[in-house]
Amino acid sequence: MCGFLVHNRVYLPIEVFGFSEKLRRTFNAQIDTGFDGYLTLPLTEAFPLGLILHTTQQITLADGSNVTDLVCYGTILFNHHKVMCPINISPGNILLGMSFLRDIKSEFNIDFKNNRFCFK
Amino acid sequence: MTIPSTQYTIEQLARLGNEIYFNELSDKLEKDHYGEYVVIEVDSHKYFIGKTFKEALDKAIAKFPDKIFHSLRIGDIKKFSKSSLSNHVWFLGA
Repeated sequence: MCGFLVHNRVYLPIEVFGFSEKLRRTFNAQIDTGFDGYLTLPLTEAFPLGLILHTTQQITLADGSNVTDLVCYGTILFNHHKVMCPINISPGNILLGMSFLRDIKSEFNIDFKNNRFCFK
Repeated sequence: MTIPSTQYTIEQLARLGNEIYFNELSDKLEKDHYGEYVVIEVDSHKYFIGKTFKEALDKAIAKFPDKIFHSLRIGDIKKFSKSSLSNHVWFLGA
């Protein structure tokens, strides 16, 4: 299963759903190695998925300010992997973090020549 | 399937959770669990620690499957004035 590169950013097609797999939708998520969680989704993308809210989360941003995220539990489908995990509801891009990459226990290679990357 | 709920607004939940953290937990947790995650149930003041956020949250959900919690990374936020904490609700993009 491969993703793709756009403007030096790595994107991976994933499916996400909440309490019912019937609600699943596909997203192109950007891999962010500076994010140690699983996935961030903007509110408008999260609503239709039936995600279950479990906690607020206090986060300190890079500029030192404090913000409050909502965190839901959901399922991410990628290739043959199924990861049930906390999903942060945050404005901005759809980001995949290091916890997701760690959980799928795969090695990935970035091919700049062909603008794509693959998991082994 | 249990659907968790809360009697509080998001802002109230975050404020209560932060108050519990700073008033009751920060001194002892930051000494031994700096950088780990804590999930707080604001009614009982019970808390759950994990090396990862998922680990702490899973413990909390197992104990209180019908509750909504407040969470933070231990040592990540400093004690500001109450007015500066949890006033900015990020998920709305404000």
